[in-house]
Amino acid sequence: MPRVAGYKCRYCGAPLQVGPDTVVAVCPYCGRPNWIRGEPGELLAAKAPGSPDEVEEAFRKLARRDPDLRRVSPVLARAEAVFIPFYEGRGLARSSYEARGHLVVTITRRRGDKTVTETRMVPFHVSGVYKAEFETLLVARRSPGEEAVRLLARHYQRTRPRLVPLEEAVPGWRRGFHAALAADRDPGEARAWMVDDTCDRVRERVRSIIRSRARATYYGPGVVTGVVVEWERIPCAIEGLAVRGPLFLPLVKAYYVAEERIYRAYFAGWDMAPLVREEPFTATQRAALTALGGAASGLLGAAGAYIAAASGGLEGLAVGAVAVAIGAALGFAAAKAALRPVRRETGGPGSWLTSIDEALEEALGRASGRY
Amino acid sequence: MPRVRCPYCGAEYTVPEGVGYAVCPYCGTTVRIDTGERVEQQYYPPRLSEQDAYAAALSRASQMPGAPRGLAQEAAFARAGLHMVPLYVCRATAWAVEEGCETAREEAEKPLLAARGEALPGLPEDYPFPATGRMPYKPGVLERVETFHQAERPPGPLCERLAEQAARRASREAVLAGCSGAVEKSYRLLAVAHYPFWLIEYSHPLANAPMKAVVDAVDATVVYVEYPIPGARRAVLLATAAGGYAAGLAAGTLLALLLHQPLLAAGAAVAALGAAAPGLRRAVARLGQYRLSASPVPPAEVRLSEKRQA
Repeated sequence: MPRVAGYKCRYCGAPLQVGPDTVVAVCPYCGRPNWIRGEPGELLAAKAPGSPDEVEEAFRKLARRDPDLRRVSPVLARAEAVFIPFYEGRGLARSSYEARGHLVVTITRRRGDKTVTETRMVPFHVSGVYKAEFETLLVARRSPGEEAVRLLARHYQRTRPRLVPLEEAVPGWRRGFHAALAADRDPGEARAWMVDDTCDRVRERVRSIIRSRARATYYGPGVVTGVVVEWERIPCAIEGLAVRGPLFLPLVKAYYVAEERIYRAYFAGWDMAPLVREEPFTATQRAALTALGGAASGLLGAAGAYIAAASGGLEGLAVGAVAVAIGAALGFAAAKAALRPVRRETGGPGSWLTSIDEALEEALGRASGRY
Repeated sequence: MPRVRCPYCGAEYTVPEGVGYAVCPYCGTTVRIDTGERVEQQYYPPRLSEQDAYAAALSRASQMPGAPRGLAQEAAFARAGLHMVPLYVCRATAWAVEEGCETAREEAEKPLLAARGEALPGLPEDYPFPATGRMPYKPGVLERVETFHQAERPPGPLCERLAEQAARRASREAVLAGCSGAVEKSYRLLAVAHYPFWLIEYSHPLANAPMKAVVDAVDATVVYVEYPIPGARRAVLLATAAGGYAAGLAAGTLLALLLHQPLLAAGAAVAALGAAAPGLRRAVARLGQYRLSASPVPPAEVRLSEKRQA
C-alpha cells in the first residue's frame, strides 16, 4: 500500500490528491501524470479544448441551434475540461447455450355463436452458439460517476477520436480549466471487471435470443403468449481480451446562466459534441407534460371502466380496476416529472417538449409565461 | 445510554444503546465499544466552501416550480456547519466452490451509510457515495467540523448484504456456466470513513423560520433544499394540477361520448386524480422541498457486434 499523505508531483512539487487506491494521478498544476502504483507506461488521451474561449464558441453554436436555449439568451459563466480515465477492452465473447421450457399458446376458436379460448403448454428445447466481438470502455474509477460519463464513453465508441500522449492532448495545461481524475483501478482489476460486465451483457442478450428462438419453434394454430424457461445453461467465455489504458477522455463541463439560474451542459472534449445538458423548464412545458399525463390517465381510466362494464363479472371488474390504477400511476408519474427542477436533454438541439411549447405559445398568442 | 470517553480528546459523550462503534462528535475518533480499540479511519476531504455550497443550494431551489423569482437575491445566508457522516467501507467476495468453476467469482467494495437514514434531512439511504477519494483520517486534520455523526447501524448486516449480493451474482454465473450454484462468501470491514456534508440555513422574507439545505461537500450535489412558495406561484401550481385533471376528464368524456357509454367518464375522473396529486401536494405544502433522487450509472459501456452463429 503506498503512502498516501503528503504526496507531491515529481515534476513540479505541487501537492497531489492521492487515495489508497490511486494508480495514476495527474498533477492539477502542471498536467503531468504521476504513477503511484503499477508499471508506468505511456498514457494516451483524446484532444481537449485549450481554453474556455473554445468552449464558449461551441456553447454559442449550440445555443443558436437549440430553440429552448436561444429563447432564454444563456450566458456561459464557467467552463472546465476534466479528463476521465478509462480502460478500453476488445475481445470475443462466446456462449454455447441450451434451454428447455414451455410455450404458452393461446388458441381462439369460434364454435357456433360462441368464441372459445383455449390455452396450451407446448414444450420447447433450443440450443446454439452465440458469438460476438465486443468493445468495452470501463471507467478507471471505483465510482462510475454521472450519466455524462457514460454518454462520453458511448460517444468515444461512436466517433473513435485519434489518441495522443496525454502531454500533447492540450496545447498548454491551464490550471483551473484543465483537470484530470485519478485512475484507481489497475489493468488487472479492469480486466476482471470487463469479463464480468461483458458476460452480464452476453447473458442478457442470449436470454432474449433463447426466448425469440423458442417462440419460432412453434408452427401450430394460435398465438404464443408466453415463454416459460424451466432450465437454461448460458456459459460465457471471453477469448483474446486486449486491454489498454488508462485512456484519458476529456469531458467538458459548461456552467451557464439563464434567467438568473445556473445550469450545466456537458460536451465531449475532442469534437465539442453536446452530450447532455440541463435546460430551463418553462411553465408551459410543465403544464403541457401534466396535461398529456392527465389525458393518458383519463383514456386508461375510461378503458378500465369500459372493460369493467362490458365483462360484468368479477374478473372484468378486477382488470378494469387495474387499468384505472395504471392510468392514475401514469398521470402521477408525468405530473411528478413536470415538477422536476430542470429538463435534461441529451444529444443535439430540440425536443418534443419544445415543439409542444412553441405550438402552445403560438396558439395562445403570448410570450411564454414562466415561473 | 453508554457513556464513552474519547481516547484522543478526552471528551465524554453518550452513544445510542446497541451500537458497535462510538464516534467522538468533536474529533471523529472512532472506537469499538466492546474493546475500546481505535479502528482504521478514513475521510473524504471537503472540497467545497460553505459559500459555494450555499450558492449551489440556492441555484437548485430557484429552479424548482413554485420558487419565487429572484430567490437568490432576496435570500440571506444564516449559518452553515460541516457534518461528517460515517460510512462503513466493506469488501465482499463470493466464489463458486465446485472445482473447475473458479471463474464464477465476484468481488464488491462499497462505502455504506453507517448513520441512520435521516441523520441529515433528505439524505437517502442509497446515496451513491464515491468509492474513491478517501484519505487516512487523523483527528485534527479537519477544521470547522460542527459534528461527527454516530455510526448507529451495525456494520454486520450491511456488509453481509453486500456479500449476499456478490454471492447471488457468483451463484448465477456458476449455474449458467453449467456448475452447481454452491458458493462461499466472506466480507471484511476495511474502515470507517467520514463523509462531509454542509448543512446550511438561510432565510427569506416569505418564510417565517430559517430554511435548510444539505449539500455534498465533495462534489457539490444538492441533496436537499427547502424554499418558500409565494401565493401567486401556489395558484400556478394549482392551475397546472387542475389542468392535468381537466385534460384527463376531457379525454375520458370524449371517449364516453364516442362510444355512448357515460360510465367511461367516471373511470377517467378517478384515474385523472393521479395527474393532479403531485401539483396539489406541492401547492398546499408549507414549504417547497427538493429531494435528490439518485439513479445508478453502470460502470462500463459494452458494445456487442454479433457474429453469425456457427
